Amino acid sequence: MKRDEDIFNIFRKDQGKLDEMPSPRAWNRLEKKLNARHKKQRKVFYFQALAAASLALLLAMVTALSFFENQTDNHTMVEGLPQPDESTWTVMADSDVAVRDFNDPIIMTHTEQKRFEEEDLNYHRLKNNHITEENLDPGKKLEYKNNNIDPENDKAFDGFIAENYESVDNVANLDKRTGPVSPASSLSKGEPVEEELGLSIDQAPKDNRGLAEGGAIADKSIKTTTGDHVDFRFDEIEPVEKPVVTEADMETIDRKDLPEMKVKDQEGWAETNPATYLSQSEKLEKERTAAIMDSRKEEMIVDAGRKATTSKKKKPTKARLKSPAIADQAGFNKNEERQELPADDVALEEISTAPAPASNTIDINATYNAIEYSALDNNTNLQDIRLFEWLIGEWIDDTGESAETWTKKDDLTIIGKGSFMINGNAVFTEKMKITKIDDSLYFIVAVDSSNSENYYRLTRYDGQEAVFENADLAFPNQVIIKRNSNDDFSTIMQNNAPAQIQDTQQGYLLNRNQITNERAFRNLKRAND
Amino acid sequence: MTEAELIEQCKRENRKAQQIMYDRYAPKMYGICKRYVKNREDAEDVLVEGFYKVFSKLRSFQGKGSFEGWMRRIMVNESLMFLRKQHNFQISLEVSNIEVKTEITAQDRLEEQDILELLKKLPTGYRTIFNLYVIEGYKHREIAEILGISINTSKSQLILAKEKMRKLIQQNQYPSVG
Repeated sequence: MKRDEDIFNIFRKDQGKLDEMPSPRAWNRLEKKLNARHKKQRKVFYFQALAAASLALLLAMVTALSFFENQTDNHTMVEGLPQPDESTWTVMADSDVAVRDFNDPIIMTHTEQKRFEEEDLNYHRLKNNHITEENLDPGKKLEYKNNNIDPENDKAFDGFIAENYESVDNVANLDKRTGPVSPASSLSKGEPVEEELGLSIDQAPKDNRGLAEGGAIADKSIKTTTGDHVDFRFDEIEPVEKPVVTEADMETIDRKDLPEMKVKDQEGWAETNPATYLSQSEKLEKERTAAIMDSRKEEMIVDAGRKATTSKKKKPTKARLKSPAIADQAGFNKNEERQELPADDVALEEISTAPAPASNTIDINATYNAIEYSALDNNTNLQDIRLFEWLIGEWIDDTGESAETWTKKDDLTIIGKGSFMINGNAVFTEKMKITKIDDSLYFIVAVDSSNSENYYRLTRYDGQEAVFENADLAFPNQVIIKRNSNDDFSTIMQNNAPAQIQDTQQGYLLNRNQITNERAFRNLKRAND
Repeated sequence: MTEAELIEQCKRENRKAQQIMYDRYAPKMYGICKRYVKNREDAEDVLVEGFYKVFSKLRSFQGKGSFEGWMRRIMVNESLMFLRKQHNFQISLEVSNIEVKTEITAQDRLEEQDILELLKKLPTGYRTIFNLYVIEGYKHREIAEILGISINTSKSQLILAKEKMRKLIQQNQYPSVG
């Protein structure tokens, strides 16, 4: 034990020998830690202060809201005011909001009434419950009654409406009174009743007259200082259903007349006013073409006047799918059995099967559509979707990686779906559409993963190569659909002026099966061959 | 500046006062850390953490006991926390793998380097219990509580630590140890 104590004592006695100042590095590290803590504390303080301020603000808002709610709950409802002889007008409210405003009780607490006598606060509130321009619209009606109205002064009400609304047309549905008519003093602008109703926007009551007088403020009744009772009655009438335009309807409507609107059809395409996609140059070209067309129509009318007595209109029998000229150029349909077309298309066929007219001449026997087609010279039929009906079917490339399926949607549109497969899985899909918009055909393409759609207008078609262009796009601004044979076609994306494919574009274009520095191809063959 | 004034200033996070306090107590606290932690760099890390806690928790010091004692306990705790990360005190019997010849001079008292060398030769468990019992004056019950071991383990570890220490000292012919 003695020895144990000796050992312990040695260490106890000598423990101070280990005392030593640590390196300066230790203090530096400690100081850094303390500084960091100080910053953290400040952050916490600011956060706490912010939280406290937010809480205080929230509490203040809640208190204010509950205060106003209590005021509402404690309102004085004065119901059942006398309903003497009435004059009735009906004014149409213009929105649900307006009707709700009308239907909101016009209420005042006694406190409010007192305040009203001192300030104008409640006047404004009442004003919001009354007729304003916003409150006029079909669907709802506000019935305004004044039981102290002079039948001799019915014009006063008209005057009131005219003076208080920018356009009397806005209250065209004003259904005039059905009973006695108001006195002029009640309805002329600036007169007491008018002011008290809040109908005269600019004139707040300057004295203590008004709605609070006697507390005669009720849900739909107002007692004026003169003792008049003005009642409002609100009735809902059947809402007017807005017309629903179906796709079928749309096809019967000239698209250029459609308003700017976007709806999605079954394939997810947005039906959009094409005018917004036309480049400036295209717009100018359209205007120029329209001017030419107009002048030629006039010529036609003049010619028609001259020749009407001698011309005979061909009796339409059979219409052909393509005009001979087109078929010849294309070289694919010469031997194909021609299909019958509906009667509407007869005129088109007539002009194209007629003996080749001199350039720019007008066949007096043709209908308007045919004349229009004929006048377009080389690009005749560039608006005929049937030019691309050969696309309908399934197409696939040699490797089986790229595929397209085209179907006919209607007489104006054919739709294509493209895909790029790796190991049987579609890694990329796109949707395409060739459709007639206004008087042009458009190739529209959209990658499924993107919402953007690129529009290319058909500018040339020689029967083999169709060129769609959109000068507004950086790249590609030209899409060429080239029919190599009946069962083989290529899609080429490039710029009409030489331009190198940018890196940012390659992601999409690489999904075509050939790509060079300047263009991307997709060569497809008919799948069922 | 008296200790009370210094503490008051440190509570207000006066950096100058903190530095004065550090300068005043760091050597002693560093000595404590070195007893528990073998490596000097590690001991310095423990010291920094310990002082950071001292300054952070200073408001909780009520002034009822010795400030140095309060600070010393923090350093010991910090050292033990460091050791716990590397050592399981619940293993009751340790065998030192290092049997390096200790150079202890034949003097009445051990020099600093001798003490450190001897302590270094002790396995962590022995050394910790040795320090807690011999230097800090804890009872076995307290040591068992602090380290989460049984009282018997604490006792057996201390016996083994003493035996180890005796051998080391005898090997180095320390005269007063028989």
